[in-house]
Amino acid sequence: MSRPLETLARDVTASIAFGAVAVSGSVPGPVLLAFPVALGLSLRGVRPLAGRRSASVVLLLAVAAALFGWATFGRLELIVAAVAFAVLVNCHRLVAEPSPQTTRQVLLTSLLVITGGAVLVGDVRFALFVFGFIVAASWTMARMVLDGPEGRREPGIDEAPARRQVAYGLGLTLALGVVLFVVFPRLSWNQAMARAPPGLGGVTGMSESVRLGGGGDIKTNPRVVFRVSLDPDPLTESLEAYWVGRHFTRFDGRQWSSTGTAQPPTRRVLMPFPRRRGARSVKQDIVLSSAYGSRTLVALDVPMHFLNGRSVGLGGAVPMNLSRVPDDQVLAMLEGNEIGYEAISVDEPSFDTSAPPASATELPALDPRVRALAVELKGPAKAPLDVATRFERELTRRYAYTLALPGEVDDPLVDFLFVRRAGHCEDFATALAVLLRIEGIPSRVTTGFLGGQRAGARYHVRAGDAHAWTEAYVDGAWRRFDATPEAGRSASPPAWLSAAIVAYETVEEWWRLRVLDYSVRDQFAFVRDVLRWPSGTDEAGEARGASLTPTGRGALVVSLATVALLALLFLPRRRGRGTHPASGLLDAIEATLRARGVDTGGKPLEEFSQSLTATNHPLGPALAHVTRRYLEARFGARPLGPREQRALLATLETPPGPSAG
Amino acid sequence: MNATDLLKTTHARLGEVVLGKPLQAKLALTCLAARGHLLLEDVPGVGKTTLAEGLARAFSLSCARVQFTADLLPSDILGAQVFLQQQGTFEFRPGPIFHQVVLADELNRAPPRTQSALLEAMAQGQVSLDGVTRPLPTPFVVIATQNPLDLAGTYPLPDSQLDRFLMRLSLGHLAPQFEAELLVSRRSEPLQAFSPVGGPDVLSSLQRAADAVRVDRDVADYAVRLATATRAHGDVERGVSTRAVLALMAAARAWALWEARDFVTPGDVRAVLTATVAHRLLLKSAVQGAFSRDEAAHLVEEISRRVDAPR
Repeated sequence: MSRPLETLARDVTASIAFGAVAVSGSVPGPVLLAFPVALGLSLRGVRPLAGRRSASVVLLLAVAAALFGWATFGRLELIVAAVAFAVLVNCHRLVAEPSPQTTRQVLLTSLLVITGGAVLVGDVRFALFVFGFIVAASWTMARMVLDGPEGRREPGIDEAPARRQVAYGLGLTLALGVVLFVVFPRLSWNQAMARAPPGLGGVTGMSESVRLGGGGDIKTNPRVVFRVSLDPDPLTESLEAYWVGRHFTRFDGRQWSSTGTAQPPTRRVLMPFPRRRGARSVKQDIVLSSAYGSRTLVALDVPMHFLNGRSVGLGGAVPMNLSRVPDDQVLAMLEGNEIGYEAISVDEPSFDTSAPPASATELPALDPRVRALAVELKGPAKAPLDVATRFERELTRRYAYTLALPGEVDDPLVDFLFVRRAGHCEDFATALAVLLRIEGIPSRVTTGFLGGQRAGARYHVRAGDAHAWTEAYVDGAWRRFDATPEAGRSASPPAWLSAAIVAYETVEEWWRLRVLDYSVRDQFAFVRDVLRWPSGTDEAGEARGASLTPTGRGALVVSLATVALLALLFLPRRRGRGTHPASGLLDAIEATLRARGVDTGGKPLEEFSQSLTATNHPLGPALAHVTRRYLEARFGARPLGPREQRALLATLETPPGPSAG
Repeated sequence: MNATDLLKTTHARLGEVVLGKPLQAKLALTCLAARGHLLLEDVPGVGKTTLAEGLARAFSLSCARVQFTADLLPSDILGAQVFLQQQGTFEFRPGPIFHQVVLADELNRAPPRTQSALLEAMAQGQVSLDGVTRPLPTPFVVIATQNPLDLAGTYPLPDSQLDRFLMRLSLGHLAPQFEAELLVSRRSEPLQAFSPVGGPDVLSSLQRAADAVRVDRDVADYAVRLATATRAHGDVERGVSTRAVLALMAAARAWALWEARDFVTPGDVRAVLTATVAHRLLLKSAVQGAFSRDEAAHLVEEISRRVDAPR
């Protein structure tokens, strides 16, 4: 039995389901490899497992045992193991004997796989896969119907209209899916488990230490690491703001590390410096994405207050404690798919008045050239503020920015200052901090982000925006100095790329807001908005012209569109699909007969006309004539003009009878 | 006289002889015009032979009647070499098949060898005997009858041979009013009074007229879809052959002559569908005889309702 189209449709469906979980990056490598192999074999028509029942049973049992063994010993999440098993079952079915039963099994298993994908992925890519899956699965099922239960075609099934029906059904399914999604109470499944980070895991510049030198690649990753809404909203497209993550005060000549020990977790963290009157504060609602990959909280320079921490998983948000590490950072106490919190920062450079720790002035063993450089760069400046400003300016002026890393060198600072004379932000920040300490000014290196791009109502900050700068304790407060040349402060991808990224992120933002984070509460809000019809009395005076809420208007448009679509689908449609010009005449004849109340009883016109003639029906002669002319035009190659057509139809409309005329 | 008038005149005269069977007479005439052979299947005494002889007489065709029996030999039909003692040579004595109309009564009573001798001749239009090929006269029509009920001691025609008959008709019992009329008006030999419409050339001209009827591509597609539907139907063991589709279209062409048309319509195809297709279907149910016939006819009608005609 050969059903190539059905088999192909089935393979495509299985591939889409596999793709949905493959992009999660959580599926074990061997499984990732097995599926393409099985798919390749299936597409080439090679089916090594056809008819081998006992071998299949043994194989699948072994695979199941291995996977669940792994899961038991904690090497694999249970859900990942289940998904992997479903994928392998699908592989097996692909290389087994193709039959309608196998196709049904593949569809069912693919459904399981894609359900697992919802747990593992859940972002906008998953939406694309789900859409593809719906289309492909519908196509497969349509093929199963068209190919018939035993591989034989049912008589008279014409494929073209069947395809159209499938397309209608698909459109209806998707529309209904959206409606159900919006209206039905949402299931919260998999409350307990944290999702594996999508893609290749977390990427960030936020690390436990800042180490100079080494190899690698930085500042190119466009992935969003956190999203933030600001209050007050600056309403600019791009936000040139410094986001503070960690402070580092201890430097050993190669690596910066921190000194503090974490304080007990609390619901909120208030920085231990006094709040000054009149300082302008900015409230931030920040969500660290799973790509962030660290528990360090960031906030606009200068952060003062962290509160309302929550770990966001699939089950919703869980309240979370925060902990401050003095002179270092603020930590989230839970891990989650996302971490959300609020922060209040003060937009004033000399706000942080906490006393510098001892390590802020300690210096490692230094090359004498560095001290000489400090003297040279300082010039005539005396006051600490002037010295710091001069160092910052001179470093910026004299050294170049480069993303290329030096590799392992003995003294990376010397390498930067005297050999390569070029480096990236960490080199500049380190050099400036060391120079300041030589002059006796306490300093520290701060890592965080510089930038922020608007997407919808929020700002997105990317991994590529990671930055490091220096803070100097001058005149009783920490002040920010950034010696990195402008060109290197924030990564700027080509315009088209950033446009593409912004477009993608706007879509993903929408998906996040409208789908992933769409909750029962949002449903209530939606229903309330829809039901709140303009009563005409809320706003006294101009009440008459009260308009609907945007949601209500949208719902109205959607329901009208749905009604129109249903009407289009289910109202008796003009069957003018025949391309022959005379077919229109047949439609018109039948319509005229209906209008006159003549029931054809489902008979074709030819037979009906003959039966009228045979029973001496008054309409018989006229209909016989019209039918004859139609047949000539349709099958006898004697075309019919529109005028003649009208005249013919008129003969059917004139009331018959002996007195006619 | 044009083809339509010819057909209608003939039909009217046949109607005087074969009472109360206008549709069957019409189909039988159509079968002749389409150069087809006709199988009449019915119980004895309902006018099969009368219809056959009437058809022969209408066109003044030479007619021979062979009563098929269990001991009938091929040479009884085809003819044989006879030794002439005076001249000392063999002479060919042509059998009844060398007539324009051969009426094969109770075809299924003869053994298969004899049946196939006749059916070979039907297919080839010639007879090969002792290495000499002899053409059959034209027009050449075999009208066979069989009794679907009394099957004991018969050799049912194999499907391949049923396929050679363009149409299968059954007459059925007369309606009471016609039967009464028959009793009143019945003369001693009704066919004696039957005056021909014309000679064999008239039938040939009818056949040429039928050949000239054109078929629209959509109607051809329709016929093919009908045939395909019989092949895919769940109750059919084996659907119709390509020969059957050709036969269906030939019959539809001839049917178009009745309406004085030079083109075939889907209605023409439907009109001849049951008569040309039903006997070629092999049904899954193993019922033989009259039940099988009715079942096949119903099935064909169902298919013709289900397959969309071109509009």
